[in-house]
Amino acid sequence: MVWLSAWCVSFSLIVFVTFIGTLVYLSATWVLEFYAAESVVDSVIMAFRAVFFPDSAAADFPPMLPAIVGTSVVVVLMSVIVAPLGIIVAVYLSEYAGETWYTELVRIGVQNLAGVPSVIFGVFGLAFFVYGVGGSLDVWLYADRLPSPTYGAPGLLWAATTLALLTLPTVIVVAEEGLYRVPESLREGSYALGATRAETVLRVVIPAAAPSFFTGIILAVARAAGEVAPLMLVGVVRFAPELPVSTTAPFVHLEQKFMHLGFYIFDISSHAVIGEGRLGLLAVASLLLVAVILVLNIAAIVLRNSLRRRYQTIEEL
Amino acid sequence: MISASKRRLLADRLTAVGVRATSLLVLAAVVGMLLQLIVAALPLMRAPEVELNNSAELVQQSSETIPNWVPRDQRDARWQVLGERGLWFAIGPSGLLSGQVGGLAGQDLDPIDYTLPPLDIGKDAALSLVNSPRNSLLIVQASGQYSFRDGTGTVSFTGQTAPFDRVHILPGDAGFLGVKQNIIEHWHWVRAGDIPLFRLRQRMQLAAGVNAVAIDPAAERILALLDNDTLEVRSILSGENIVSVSLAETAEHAYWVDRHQIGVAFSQGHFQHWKIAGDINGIDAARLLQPIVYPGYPEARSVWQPLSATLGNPAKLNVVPLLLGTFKTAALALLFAVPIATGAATFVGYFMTPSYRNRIKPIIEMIAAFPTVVIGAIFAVSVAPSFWTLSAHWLGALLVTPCAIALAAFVFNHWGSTATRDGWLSKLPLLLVLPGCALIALGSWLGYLIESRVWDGNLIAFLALKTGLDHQSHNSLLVAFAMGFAIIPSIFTVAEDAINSVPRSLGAGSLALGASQWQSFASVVLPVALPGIVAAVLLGFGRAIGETMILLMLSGNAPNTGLNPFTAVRSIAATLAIELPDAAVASAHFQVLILVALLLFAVSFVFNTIAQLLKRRLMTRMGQVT
Repeated sequence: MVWLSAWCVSFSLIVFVTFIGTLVYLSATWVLEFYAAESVVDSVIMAFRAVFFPDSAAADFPPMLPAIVGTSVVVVLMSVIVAPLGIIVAVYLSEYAGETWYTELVRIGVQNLAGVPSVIFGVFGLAFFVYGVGGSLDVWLYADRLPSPTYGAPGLLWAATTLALLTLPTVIVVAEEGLYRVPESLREGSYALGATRAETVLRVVIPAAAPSFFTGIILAVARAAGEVAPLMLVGVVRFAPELPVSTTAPFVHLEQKFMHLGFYIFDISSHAVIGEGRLGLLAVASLLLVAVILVLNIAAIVLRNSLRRRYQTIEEL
Repeated sequence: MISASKRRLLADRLTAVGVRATSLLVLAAVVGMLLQLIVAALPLMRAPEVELNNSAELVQQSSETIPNWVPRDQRDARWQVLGERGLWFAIGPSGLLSGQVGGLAGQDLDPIDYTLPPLDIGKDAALSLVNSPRNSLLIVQASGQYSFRDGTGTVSFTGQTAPFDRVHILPGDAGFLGVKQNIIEHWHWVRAGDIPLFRLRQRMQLAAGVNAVAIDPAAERILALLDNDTLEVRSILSGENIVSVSLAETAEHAYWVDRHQIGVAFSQGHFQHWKIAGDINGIDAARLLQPIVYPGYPEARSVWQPLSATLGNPAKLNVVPLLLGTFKTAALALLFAVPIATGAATFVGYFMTPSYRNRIKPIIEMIAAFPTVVIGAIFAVSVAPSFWTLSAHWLGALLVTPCAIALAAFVFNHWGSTATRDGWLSKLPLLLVLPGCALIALGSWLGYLIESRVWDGNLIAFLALKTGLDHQSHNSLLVAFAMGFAIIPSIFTVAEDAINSVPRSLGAGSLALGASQWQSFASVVLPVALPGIVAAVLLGFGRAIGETMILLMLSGNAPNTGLNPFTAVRSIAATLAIELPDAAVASAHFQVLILVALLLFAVSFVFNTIAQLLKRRLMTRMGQVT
């Protein structure tokens, strides 16, 4: 029986490695098709172009670059929204709120929110942000363009806010954990030297817990990069003719629909047939997404471990 | 100038106020969002939790008189337009005097233009064009005799239903309404081969004799003008009363102005418009959960088909297929994932030394971040097309590998050396990887071998013949495998935490008393950690019911009912992702989708809360044990 439980561990690892191996193999075989014997530089350029700007004659699927840009833009926008809000709520729960039953209720609620299916956040985003707030914004600011909606339809802004709502619990939980780990002795020393609570929090506690804030944001970004379902409801399309960021004012077009790498993978897999080259594109896109998410997670783990080591030494003093 | 200390105090107060205000605002916004959704969705529909409640009212809008009003008994000709086809006919005392069918060419439609011959069918007959057979006339006489005829008047099919006072044919192929005194019966036809057979679908009993019936433009509701000067609006699908109002005087005729407005005509051409405010969709628990005989279906069935609604063919909004699909896939995925995840958790949490544990645990937890889109994509392009042809391979691998490993363990424990056991036990998973792969390959080869000898190379055909079960390439079993892989890390994390938090002294005491490693674990440690493991399973279930992308790609997305795991399914989350962007706001479809989303939210919320309470109970138990 012990061996069977050991086999369960090996099985999970085997499956994980098989997934990644399949992706690597398929991407490699596809990219290596472009390997020209004449020049390595040429083949690299061809592979690069094939991956990011596929030949439109052979393609009835969209290029990958706008999907990558779209994912990055929405994730950056989401971080801008969720980072301050999540950190402030974590600081409140940790420093300012007492240990009462309603604070416990809030913590339980936040943890529950982390476990809610992501598509429900998409429904919230659609019903509340798009139809509710967006509809009102349209009536107030863009009444001349009605009935054609500007903000009353899915777009970049609402996708970012939906993702922010989705990852808010992650940021709050991780940030609170970091604040909890800051040794009480640091705070006590600050108070002993005559600092007010605001000064202690802003100048001692927050800088001490800053790595865990970054960890929280990194985990939020990793989760948001992989979530496709909520975005399907609030602003992702199969093919967007323009990038959401451009050189024309206002530079970031918040009402436009955009492309997302996860949705790109979903779209291609619905049409992919083995042996037509789309499979290679699918593998490359998946590998890119998986690589980004795994790198972010590893960075978060490394940060977390360095934080623990840092406070272990402080507490031993 | 404010002194430095006062400035600092001010800054302190401001920061405190700012932090408190912002966080309370954020928390209130999240709660408010949820409440707004509930509040917006529930009153618009008669939600199953609320009592059947008349939330629609009639509000008088305007009242005018039209000149040159022709009283009812002097009006003979009737006409109706159906989509691109027009049917004009005049009925005299003995029946059809003249009729013209005309229409332009449209999608799938040829241009038609022909004149109907006079037919002896009686004054109270009703005519309509039906969709199948194409360009046929359906004539229903008040005596209950119906006939399908082609353009020259030749009868294709004929038959007899019950006699009525008046007959109204519903648009589309939904049948007809027969009015007799205070009863309205809905008869629809069901195809037996080519022959249409009329059957009674619904009988509505009203409070008083029915003077006039009008069918609304969407063909979902009827307006009944009764003897006792009441107007009733009823749903055709369920026969339930939606709203009714008493009129001040006797009306001659009632008609639908549009979906939300009713017109009532009194004598001398005086008429009124009434607006229906509030919910008119008439959704209730019965329509959502119980099998209904939909027009054209021979028996009561639970069908989810909201998007193919056409005139006369109402949106089928039964959520039972969705609920069944969600829970079926989640249960199968748990069946697959829980043994593997708890097995892995016991090994990593109990049998591994801390140094190895700290290396393996983050790796498995990182699998949790693997995007499910990619898992679905990998399965969709590689496994799904050959799922059934390789079924013997899967079965072989699945069955052979654990048996071989158990055998190896047995052999080793009896005849192998146990001297340095503790040293390499932690390395066991890594040592098993390569032999495990070899065993998987061996198992699938054996499966193939047995299949080609015993079942002529096609296990699935044999099973399909034997059990008579339907099977498709995208089915809930495939989804269960894929989703199982996705939720294994979630279950693993919580279960491993639970098992690891059991104090070492318990296991050590059991070993000291002579129990074996596994006995110590199974009899002593496992019962103590059980709440945590149950919490892990509940969390896994909560994740499984909400999983969207894997289901979109692998489940076949067909809302089937029944417990067959080899056919396609449709889950709630997948339905939301597919249909919500296209649902018209405030339509019945949209409201049902919001209700179903709230249901999913509530279920996962409840499961998460129970899991957290169990975890807390585990923590207190640990406190008691040490």
